Amino acid sequence: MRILQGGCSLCRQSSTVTSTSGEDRSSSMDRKNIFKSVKPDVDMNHILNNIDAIARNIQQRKGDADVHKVVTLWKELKQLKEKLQSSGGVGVSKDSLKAQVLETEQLLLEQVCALPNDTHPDTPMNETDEPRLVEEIGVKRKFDFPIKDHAQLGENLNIIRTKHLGHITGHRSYYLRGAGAQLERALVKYTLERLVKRHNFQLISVPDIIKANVFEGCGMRTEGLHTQVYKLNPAYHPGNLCLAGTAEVGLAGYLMNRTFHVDELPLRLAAVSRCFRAETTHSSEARGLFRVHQFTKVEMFGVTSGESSNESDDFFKEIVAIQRNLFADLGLHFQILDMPAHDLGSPAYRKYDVEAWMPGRDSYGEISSASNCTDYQSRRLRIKYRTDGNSDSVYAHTLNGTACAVPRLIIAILENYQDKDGSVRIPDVLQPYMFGQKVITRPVRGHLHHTRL
Amino acid sequence: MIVLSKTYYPSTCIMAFVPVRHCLMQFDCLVTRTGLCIERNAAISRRLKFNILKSSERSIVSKSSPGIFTPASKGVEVPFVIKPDLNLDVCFGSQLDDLKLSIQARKQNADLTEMIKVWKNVQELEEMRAKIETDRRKNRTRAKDLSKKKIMTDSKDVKGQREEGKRLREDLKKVNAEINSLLDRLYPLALSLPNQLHPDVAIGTKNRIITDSQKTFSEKRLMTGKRDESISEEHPLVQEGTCYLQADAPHTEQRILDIAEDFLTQKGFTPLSCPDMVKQYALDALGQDFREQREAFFVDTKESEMCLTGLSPLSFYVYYMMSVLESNDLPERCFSIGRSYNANYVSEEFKGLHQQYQGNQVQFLCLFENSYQEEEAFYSNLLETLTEFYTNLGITFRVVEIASENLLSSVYRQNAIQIWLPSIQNFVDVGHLTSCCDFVSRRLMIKYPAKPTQTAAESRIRKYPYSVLYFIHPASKQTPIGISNDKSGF
Repeated sequence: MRILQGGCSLCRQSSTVTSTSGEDRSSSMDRKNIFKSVKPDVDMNHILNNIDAIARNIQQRKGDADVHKVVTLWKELKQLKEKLQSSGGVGVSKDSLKAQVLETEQLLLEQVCALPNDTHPDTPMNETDEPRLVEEIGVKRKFDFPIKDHAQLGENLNIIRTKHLGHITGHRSYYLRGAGAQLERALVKYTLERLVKRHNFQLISVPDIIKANVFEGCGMRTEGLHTQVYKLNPAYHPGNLCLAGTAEVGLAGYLMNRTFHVDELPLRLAAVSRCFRAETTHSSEARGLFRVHQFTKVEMFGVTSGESSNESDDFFKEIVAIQRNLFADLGLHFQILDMPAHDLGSPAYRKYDVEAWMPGRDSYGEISSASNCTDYQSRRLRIKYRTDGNSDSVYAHTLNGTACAVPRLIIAILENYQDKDGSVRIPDVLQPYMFGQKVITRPVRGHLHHTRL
Repeated sequence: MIVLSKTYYPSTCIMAFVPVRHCLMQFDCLVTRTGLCIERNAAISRRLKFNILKSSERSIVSKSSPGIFTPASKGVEVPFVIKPDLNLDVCFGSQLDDLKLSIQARKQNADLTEMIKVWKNVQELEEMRAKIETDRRKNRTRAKDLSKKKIMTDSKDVKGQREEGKRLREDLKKVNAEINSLLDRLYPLALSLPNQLHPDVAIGTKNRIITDSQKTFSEKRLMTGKRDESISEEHPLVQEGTCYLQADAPHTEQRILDIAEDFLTQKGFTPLSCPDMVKQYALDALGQDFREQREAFFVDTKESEMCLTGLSPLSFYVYYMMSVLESNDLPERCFSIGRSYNANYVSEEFKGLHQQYQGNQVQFLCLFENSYQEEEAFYSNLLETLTEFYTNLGITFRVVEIASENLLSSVYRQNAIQIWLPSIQNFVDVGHLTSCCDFVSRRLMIKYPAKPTQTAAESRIRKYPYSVLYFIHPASKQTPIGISNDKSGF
């Protein structure tokens, strides 16, 4: 969404600006009070001047937001405010008006926050709504023996356990054992080393339990039937706390209410975290590790300026290039797809998915994605930058991308590197992180006999 | 465990090997900070063991856990019935004196008289049941004889046999109902009985220092009053009291995990990656009421309410729950690296890395044969392993033996590893090696074949392995201390 210069009556401007160095920080209590007054800063002028274009955008993205309702509420709020100003004095009618203003303002904010980001002009919006193939890397491996899927391979090699767990650790839970657990650690170490040493990402250790408002600020819904977000039981844990489904939320929270100098940008952050997702689908693809409720992931997060509108585009290309190299060096065959408008979700201006060939599924499966959210998240989370000390701060652009979603990569590796005897070769780049091990074979020990007696 | 019998359970040992953020506090990357309210001994013991729990809290900890015992009346409502093998025959028989000693040494409350009374009633009823069943067998034989002789169904003999059969059925039903009712009363009480105590455990509350290393710290590393750039701690809108690690700190965190992973892999431990959420009743297996203690996070899922604990002793135990290990797989040694969560550390303000509701940890578990000789050998070996690890890290530490009144019900013996923090001029707990013998394996039905020649599937007589473990518990008190570092090891 376009950056609003000069503020908007919908929001109260935060009077405090936090710096990256941590200097001039107000006390904890002061900050709490400031945070209470922070509201998303949405460009109402842009909305009012582009009603038809926004309605068309919502339709193309198959969203459920209603820009006309936003406009109606905006007009209603304006009238109420005028009435309040003209009423003067103190009394019951004025209190009632004030309450109406607050209520309408809240409704308007909810409706405005549901509006999706603008869409990149090159995003596929064709009739078939199919993603556009950007690049195909590697070729499908041909097998001269009957192949197994990752669940069979994992069970035979005793490195993945998904059975006999429902009554203890819940539906779709899993253990990784031996080489499976080593593979998880190796993937994380390999990814982090690349991101930090080659691409100058700053590693941040993020919390996994986060307040709902940060999710909402990222454009993720925490309410509703199809939400992917787990909530903590409020009877035991007050404060509307949720479990992060991605480190993107934690990293966005880290940057919340911060203003950077333009010279500090682009900001490259990375985090390893446990991710928790409700995953409501009941399809057959839920078998094994493909759609699990908890997993480890390495996430990339970027902050750029929006001076020429090219900065975030360039950084988006950089994230995709990093992903391309990471997965190509693992020896996987995958394709990079420019996702169509209806697959973007609310925050993304543009989104690329990476889908790796998974022979056991006989199809491509998503292993990663990259999104350019322009100023959609930063307006909600107040992530800003300024060009010099005296200039007004403006909203930065944020981007995110998955560097390593462990279970999906384990699927791709096991299924593509399997051999006739049921063993699995370890990609060359991971071998140094697995104590030089080259092949995963069935261990002689460690098999459990399950009983209900 | 109190009892050894024909059925054997493996011993289990879990150790909170490396609570990474505690170790981080010793290293240069975090330098020193002030304003951190840490209640070291209490806080970490809470997390790593039960040694500082007050008696009132211990009573909560040792609260019986109906979750791992299915009462007869609930049998039809659950997918499967769980009935731990507590071996009460021996418990209230030949080992009764040891049991009384253990209860006394731990200062626990247990109405043994009542339990024994109920148990004797159960035994009498079981004798009665055996007699009725013998009579029923005889009656069935009589029925077959009458049938062979083709005696008329309305004859006196057939009528008498049938009436006798009906009476025996009714009697059996009544006896079974009475036994079930008594067991429903007895099990929750018996589940709260403590483990035996190792002969070397000091009686009372005073922990014993076993080894004390040289304090190697420099004055310049004492508290300087500077804010630490490695910790970003003011994020109330994300979650009050939380923090982010930045700059060198997350790298050091990862490095410690790598070192621990390498070390344990070289020692022959198998890595295990565990789920972070477990169902409520699994928590009961450790004899703890997590809901009461507010230790786990409770997550609303569509499936059921799940408990978010992250990496914990449970993560290991439930992997083996209701399974039989192969004899030649013992000793089973595994370790896990992961996040751990503790709801007790949620607070309005940041209180230090050691009091974060989230952190990375490395823990290990050992299951081995059910014998006290094996326990002695493994326990000493694991203690040596820990000593070697902390020595290699270059940390000043000491080993402390935990006294009887500071032990939880499930613990046979426990040693704490404490590291020296110059800023508070004191040692603080970072890990506990805990032997549970077969206390947990009996409750979770973790077994191995009694005959080494048989496979797990073939075996009918099975043993329960022994273990060493680490529990997480709520803090009992708060003591403000500062954090400083000791040595740079990375």
